[in-house]
Amino acid sequence: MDRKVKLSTGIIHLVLIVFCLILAYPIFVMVAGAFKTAQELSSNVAGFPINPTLDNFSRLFNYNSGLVLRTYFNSIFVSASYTLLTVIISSLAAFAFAKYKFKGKNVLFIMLLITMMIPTELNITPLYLLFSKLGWLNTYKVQIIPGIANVFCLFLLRQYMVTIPDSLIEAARIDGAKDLRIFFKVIIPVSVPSIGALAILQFLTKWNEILFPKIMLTKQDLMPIMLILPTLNELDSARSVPWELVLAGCTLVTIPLVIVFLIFQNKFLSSVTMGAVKG
Amino acid sequence: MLMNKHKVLTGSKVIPYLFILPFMISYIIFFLYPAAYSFILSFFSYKGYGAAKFIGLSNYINLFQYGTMWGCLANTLFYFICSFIPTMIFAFVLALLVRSKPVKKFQAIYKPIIFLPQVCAVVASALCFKIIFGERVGVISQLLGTAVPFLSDTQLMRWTVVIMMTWRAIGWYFIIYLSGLTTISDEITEAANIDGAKPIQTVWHIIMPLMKPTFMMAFITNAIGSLKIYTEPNLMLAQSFDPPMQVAPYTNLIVNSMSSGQFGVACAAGWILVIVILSLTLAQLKFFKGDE
Amino acid sequence: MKKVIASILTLVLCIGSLTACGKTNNETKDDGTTNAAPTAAAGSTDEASGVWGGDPVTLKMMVFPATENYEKINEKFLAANPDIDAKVDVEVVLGGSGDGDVAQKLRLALTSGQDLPDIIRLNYTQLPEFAEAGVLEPLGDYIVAYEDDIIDAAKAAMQYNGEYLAFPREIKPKVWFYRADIFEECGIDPYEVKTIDDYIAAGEKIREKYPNACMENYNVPSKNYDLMMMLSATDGRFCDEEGNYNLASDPNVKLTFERIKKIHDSAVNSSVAEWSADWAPAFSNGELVSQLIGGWFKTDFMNFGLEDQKDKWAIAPWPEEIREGSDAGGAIWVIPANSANKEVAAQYMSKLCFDKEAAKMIYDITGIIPASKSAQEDPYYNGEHDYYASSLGPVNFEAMEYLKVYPYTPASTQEVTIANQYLDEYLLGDMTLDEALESAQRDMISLIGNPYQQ
Repeated sequence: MDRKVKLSTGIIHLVLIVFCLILAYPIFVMVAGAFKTAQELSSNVAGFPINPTLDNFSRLFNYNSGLVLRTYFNSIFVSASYTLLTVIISSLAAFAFAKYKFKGKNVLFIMLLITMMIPTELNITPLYLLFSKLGWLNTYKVQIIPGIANVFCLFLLRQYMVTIPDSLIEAARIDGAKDLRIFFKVIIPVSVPSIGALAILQFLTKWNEILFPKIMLTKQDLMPIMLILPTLNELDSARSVPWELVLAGCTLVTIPLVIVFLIFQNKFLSSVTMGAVKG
Repeated sequence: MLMNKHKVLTGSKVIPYLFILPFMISYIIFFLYPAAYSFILSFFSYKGYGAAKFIGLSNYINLFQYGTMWGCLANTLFYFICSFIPTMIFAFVLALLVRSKPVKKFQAIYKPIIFLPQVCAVVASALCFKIIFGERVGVISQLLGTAVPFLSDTQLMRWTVVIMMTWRAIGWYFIIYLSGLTTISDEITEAANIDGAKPIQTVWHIIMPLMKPTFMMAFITNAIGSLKIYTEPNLMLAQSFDPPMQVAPYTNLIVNSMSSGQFGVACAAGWILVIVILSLTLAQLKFFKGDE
Repeated sequence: MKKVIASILTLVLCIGSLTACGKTNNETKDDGTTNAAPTAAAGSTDEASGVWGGDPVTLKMMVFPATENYEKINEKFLAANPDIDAKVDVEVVLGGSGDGDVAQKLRLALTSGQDLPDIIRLNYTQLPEFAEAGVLEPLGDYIVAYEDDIIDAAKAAMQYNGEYLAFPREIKPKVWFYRADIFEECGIDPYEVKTIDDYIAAGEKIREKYPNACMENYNVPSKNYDLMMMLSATDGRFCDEEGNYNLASDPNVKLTFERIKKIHDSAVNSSVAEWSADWAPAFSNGELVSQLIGGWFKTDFMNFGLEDQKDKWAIAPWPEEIREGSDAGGAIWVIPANSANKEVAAQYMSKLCFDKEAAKMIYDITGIIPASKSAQEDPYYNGEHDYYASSLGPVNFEAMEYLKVYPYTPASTQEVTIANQYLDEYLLGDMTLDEALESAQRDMISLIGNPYQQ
């Protein structure tokens, strides 16, 4: 019996390890490739770099007079600001949907959910016209503001806030707290784990966005790095892509995120779907 | 006295509206308004500049007659279904394994690794998979010593996208399932074990029914996300140009029509997609709620 | 209650102040007193001071796929022309990674009437759409001073319906890149290769010595430029002059499809995918010994960084049977009629495009050979090349004699996408030629209708 348990435990570990290796391997290819020369890459894409070089990174930093670092900063700034605003706005609304009764609440909520299905590509043209009227093209705000009313975020936060016991709120009320104070002093502290998780998700969503900034921006200095990565080329060619440089660029955008994620992973993973599960 | 004050507070009908106000304002300006605009535009012929001409349902009719529209729709459904099935199976099995009693204490090691692909930017992973599936200068080709035209054979091209989508998505649903499993107390499964149920029976008869809400949530969000897919196939299948229409997802139809100055067609194409997603979601809801 | 309102107000203010930090500074001063008389010949220096007088303006120049080259070119050009420098400041902005992106940006800017660039890089493919819509500034007055020096072929890529609407950025003749060393070794003179059959035969001859050698890589998915270069060798069109799609009955479109299939099916066609990571190594390892492509490829090829291929490649015009035509006519600059600074922009571009010294600067940075008669004589462009086995200039000028611009329509982008899609079906053998052409025609009719009546 004991041996049997040990055996099955071993098999489970084996399966998991194999899976983990498969899942991590593409990232390994990316990071390893970043340290290879073009010549080595064409003969050895799969393994460790034989003569690791930092040349790709210095080319990357010098590319178009520091464009990569500048756009890298843009991506971080835009994603972070967007995340902050989204979380504030969504949690305010989620609180109302979770803890208040008001006229039209259900209709409104269902309407919001249905519109989740509308592809954002559809909205690009009207939004462009709107932003050009506002003089927002080629700014940070055009990258940050649209989309802060995130229904997905609202939905998950509401699901989570519904589970907060009413007694907590009642207790605060008896102490004389008003609604906004209840929101900040009771709801927010209790929701921190799920808000944190959503924040990371929103950050990643914004971090990955390309279609929208591609239309709204023409100044390279303001672009997110994701627009620069696929077209890295040192001569004026849209077509021939130096892969070693691209892999170095991919590594550059991935590794810091991975590190941040690994540091905060427990907080993040343990709460990422609280709302979803309870729904 | 206290009760009275309480009543005054909750009795105020304005407060909840104030809470949702910032959300609704930005929602209406940045989402509802443009969506309505595009809906109206779908009945017009419009280059983007100059005059718009009302043409009724022509955009929709032309799209229905356009063979490639159906091809792109089929591609999108292919990407969705073929990534959906393995993603959900692998994610659930991995969650079960990581959650299983002897492995539980190693969770902290497995969880982040399985989730890792999700942290990798879409652009970076697409470019990286392009290298992995290269016909000659490709990881698979070099490891196996073969030259499989992954990125030029239209059948294989589709599968490479599916593999990448699955690779990225597993971690996400794995975490969702894992936290779903966490809500099921060990006592329930142990009780089943004592009753002599085999592990598979326990999973099938006890765990899966309890996980139903989680499944529903996961399936629906996956469907909505996959049907709107754009970045992954476009970055991966393009050889410096747009990918061929034979493998292009439906969203390309919207983007292509827009970039060739047919805004009306683009909007009509978008609204057809809305209907497809809506009906698929409703079907899923029916499937989950139907037997209750 | 008051607190709620107060906090929401604070929030709104926060958003407001946050967004204010990215305020645009692109509002160029509307220069009401532009005294640049369009007809003034910008070439002579004493008149130039009149042209470049007045308040300074910032010209917004939209390019793709990267801004760096034109930032350098403008900088050099302005440094060499202090009179213009005093008047003009050029801001180079990025339109995207391809001509489709730029066309879309231009459309959106035209719709909104704001953020409109003064100078836009396009390909000739997109010119008809904007020309038909009447949104481009006619440039005849700015070109007339230089007209005599412009190679006739280039004029075609600057015009639509006989009117000058564009400045030439790079005229794109069809050029055949080949391994000079191997061709010589095998006794093949590219000028003796006159037909597609000769071309395949030449490849087979090379294969006797180099069994892996291939002449082309025409594969699925087909490339737009391959199809259009081949089609422009004939008089084939997708639609008639009224815009009725009739390609299924056009013998020349048929012939074009057959020609591509012939090369695709031949033993000298490589399976390597164009622009994939495999492509450069296929040149490097001797698998690809020739390439039927456009003159612009010289830069991309050098971009591969294949040191071992140095001094091995030379260029020739395409085989006689298919040598006419061009790759989308060429890359062009257009100036929107609504641009606030259109006169200055047009003056600036005429000088940048046609001035002999400017052409040299552009050549140094981009390798673009000017399409002018004087350049044809200029040793600057006809000398030995650092990388290629022969001089590029003479062949480039020779190929320009065969340049012919396909009559693009306002819906060309979509036409080519659709045609390509069914070319693929035909190449794969999933459709017969007639099926493919009929399907393409049907799709063009249902998606586009009539390109001139959109």
